[in-house]
Amino acid sequence: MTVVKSGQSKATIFATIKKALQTPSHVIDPGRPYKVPSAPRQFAADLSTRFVDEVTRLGAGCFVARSNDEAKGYVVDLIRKRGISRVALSNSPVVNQTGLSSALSSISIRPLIVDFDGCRDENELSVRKRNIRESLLQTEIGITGVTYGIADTGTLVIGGDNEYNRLASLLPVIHLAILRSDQLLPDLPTALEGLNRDGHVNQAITLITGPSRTADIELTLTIGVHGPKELQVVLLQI
Amino acid sequence: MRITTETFDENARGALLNRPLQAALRHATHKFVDNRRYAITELDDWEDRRQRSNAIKRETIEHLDRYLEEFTTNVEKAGGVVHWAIDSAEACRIVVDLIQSKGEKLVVKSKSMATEEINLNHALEAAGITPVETDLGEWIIQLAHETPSHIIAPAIHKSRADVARLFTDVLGIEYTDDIPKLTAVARERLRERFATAGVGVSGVNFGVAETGTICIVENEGNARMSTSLPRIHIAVMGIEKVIPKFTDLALFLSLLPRSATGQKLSSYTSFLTGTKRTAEAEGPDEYHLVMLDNGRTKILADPIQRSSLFCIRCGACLNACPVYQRVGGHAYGWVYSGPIGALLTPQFIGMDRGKQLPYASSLCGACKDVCPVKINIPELLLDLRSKIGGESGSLNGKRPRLAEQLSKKAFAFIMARPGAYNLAAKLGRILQLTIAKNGKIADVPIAPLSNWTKNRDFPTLAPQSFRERWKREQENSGKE
Amino acid sequence: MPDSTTNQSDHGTKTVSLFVTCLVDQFFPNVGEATVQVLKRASCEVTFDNRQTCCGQPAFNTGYREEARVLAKRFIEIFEPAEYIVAPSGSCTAMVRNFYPELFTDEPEWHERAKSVGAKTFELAEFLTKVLGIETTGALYNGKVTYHDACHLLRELRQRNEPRRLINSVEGVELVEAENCDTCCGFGGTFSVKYPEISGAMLNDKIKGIEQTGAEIVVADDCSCLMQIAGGLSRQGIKIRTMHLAELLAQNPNNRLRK
Repeated sequence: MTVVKSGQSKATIFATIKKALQTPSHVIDPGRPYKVPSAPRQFAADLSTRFVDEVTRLGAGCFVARSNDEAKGYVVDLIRKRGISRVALSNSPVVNQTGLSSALSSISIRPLIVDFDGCRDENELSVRKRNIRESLLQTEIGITGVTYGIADTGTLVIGGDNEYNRLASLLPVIHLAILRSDQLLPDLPTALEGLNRDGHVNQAITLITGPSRTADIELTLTIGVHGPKELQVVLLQI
Repeated sequence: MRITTETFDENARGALLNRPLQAALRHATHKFVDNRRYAITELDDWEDRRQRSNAIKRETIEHLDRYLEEFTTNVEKAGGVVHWAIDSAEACRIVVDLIQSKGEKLVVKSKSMATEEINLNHALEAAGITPVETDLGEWIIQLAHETPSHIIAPAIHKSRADVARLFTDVLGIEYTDDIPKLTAVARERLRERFATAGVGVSGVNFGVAETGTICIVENEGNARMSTSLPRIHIAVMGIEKVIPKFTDLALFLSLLPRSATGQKLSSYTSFLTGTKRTAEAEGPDEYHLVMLDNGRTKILADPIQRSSLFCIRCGACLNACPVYQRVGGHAYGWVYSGPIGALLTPQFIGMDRGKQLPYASSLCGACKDVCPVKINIPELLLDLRSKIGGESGSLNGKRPRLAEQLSKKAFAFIMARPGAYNLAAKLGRILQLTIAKNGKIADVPIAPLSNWTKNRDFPTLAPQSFRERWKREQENSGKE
Repeated sequence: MPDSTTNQSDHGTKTVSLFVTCLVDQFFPNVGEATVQVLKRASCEVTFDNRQTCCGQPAFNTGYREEARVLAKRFIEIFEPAEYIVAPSGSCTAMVRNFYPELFTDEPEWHERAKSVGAKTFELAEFLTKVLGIETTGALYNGKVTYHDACHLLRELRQRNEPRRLINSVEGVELVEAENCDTCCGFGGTFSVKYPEISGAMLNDKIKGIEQTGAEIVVADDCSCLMQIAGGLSRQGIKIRTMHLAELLAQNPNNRLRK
């Protein structure tokens, strides 16, 4: 079966649009509702406090570390306490700097390193991708870095610089993100500015705001649907 | 899906008598309303944001061809293949052909009103392709062979007991109405589908012209799964969903989640631009975007109705509408329900089929005050009413045309002539003697007033009208 | 005779041409009389042009714009010479001010005339507070009262606090808010007879909200709402009374008008 490209339809649709727009709009303004008193929350002045606040309110775990060692210690502790054995590490700068890989081997855990570079050919790449994917589907905790953290909303941005891996933040049961405080931005407009390079953006950018959730049954909130059931954030306070 | 909009009045009556549905609707809409209110009081410039988003939407819609051109160019530059569908048949054909040409049989679908609109699942199944809804609410109604009853929460008409029974019957699991357990069933069952499906179909919340980016807003993670695990991603997008700039996303993302679910941002917001740039990158190998007209250009041509294309499908108007709160989404008979549905449905499925909907409103205006893009829904409803020319509405099956035409003419005649007005008033006072008791009227035997007295008493005409009293008072005080 | 403790505006006595509305004229003339009383006590001169009939809202809302246009033109011609036009109805005022211009998009001259007339047409509470700057009508009424926000008054004319301020200014009144005070009563013009079951369901919720306040009286500034609510209260045998805002503001006047 040939793929229909529908070039004719495009022309038809555009022609219809142009003709439609020849008639100017008739605007009837709906007016402004009576002003409801707003009660904007007072935000902490510094980004880190604000960020931690928001992340916690989303029901995600948040730990502030003052050094790479402290961060590493927290993560290893968490893994050990929960009896987790299947760990994935994204091959990103902040994660690497914590030295987690070797720390985990010292407790007999061989983490899956999510890294697609360095394959010699297409076949090897395809095999590695399949293996990583299948492993991630069984992984208990996926540890990644971020591109930015957004203080206003407790959001993690991945898919730009410093963290290109998406599946490691999506497939495991727990997603743990490590970020440095100098990766924090105040709000979404600022983050969008950073992500947009002259009209070009990376192929897949994801904003993660809390663990996965649904309220589809009786509008009752349930945490943990298809995405990770739990979100943990480690903020490396520089 | 079977369209039942022609029998809206019957559907509504049935809904009002359905006690469990009434309880579910009351519970859900109240929660939605409360959550939304809390979320917007956190901002001190909500009205300003509504104003700005309305302006951006107006600018975009009024130059739609230009922005669509820019958008398409950028999607294609980034490796996406853009298809154009004039109607739902063409859109389905495009998607089916695509999937068949790739030899795929299993499709995971994330929530998309546009795909409901074009009845895509039906077309896929007819072609031997299996579509699996992955949004929990959509999966529930797919299992139940039903249609969505709300834009944001498709299964809101079902109680947990309903879902529990459904899962037991269809999936064969042990009965449980524990909501987290039911949700876990969805996670478990659908995970395998995500992993094996060759195609992921998604909707689009916003398409950014400047960068060719599509934005998908969700909470469950199923859209992320559907757009990153399968090797082919097909997105279906209404042509009105385009916005000019990447930065505009910040404004719209501050409006949509708050209006829909009361969240500052939904759990996952994906920005997808074209296909992966390198072989090493994760994600689908192929990305197709189906641009859907299906009647939108017709709405565009109407200088008043045009603004209904601003809609960002947040569902706030449904939750605020006292009619929707009582009859629910299924009564409207098609994909789009509530106030926005009353506007879109007649224009999509035909005025003759949808003509009841613009009249099924008390024009209270609650919807226009919550719409994040400031669509003046009551004005648009009034406009549709004038277009339909008052030939419809429901008078319980009695011949509306004749009765309404007569009363319309009688009304106009009487009100334009004080003489006739006064005469009618006198006649009315004589006639009501036959039906008035104790200063009120409990039963008016003729339509349409008989509909009033079904459940309310009607007042009697006062013995003396105001103008008679005024006249008498003027005479008494010697004035003229 | 009203005493002269009133604060007259710089322009002297205002002359108001009463737009009584067909519903008040034929069904609730007391409301009309109360309106006149309140305006007179506010030192206005009130006139009544008995050529007036209906603003055309029922026709307009049902989609019969031709018929509505005829009545609108009549209204404009009758009321054009007036200094102020005041109506005891939010929906009728909204019809004239907000919707008349819509009827004449193809007739520029009538459009302008409609806008001019609309600019001097006011609903009663609006007129008292905004134009006359009055905060009380010096009324006296002992009782518990709840207020229903008529939809057009609230969302077309944007009057929310103004009627409440006037109610609170009535000596002896205790105003209790219903939780659903700003939810539609279900009237909606022909909606009430086209979809009587839905209208009735909305009415039931409105009545429940009113009952929960423990008020003896429900006040609104629109007779169509009051007709709907009273009809339901009466049918259900509930002993709560309905009262138009004008009637409340005209209760037991003590001639003290303060700004």
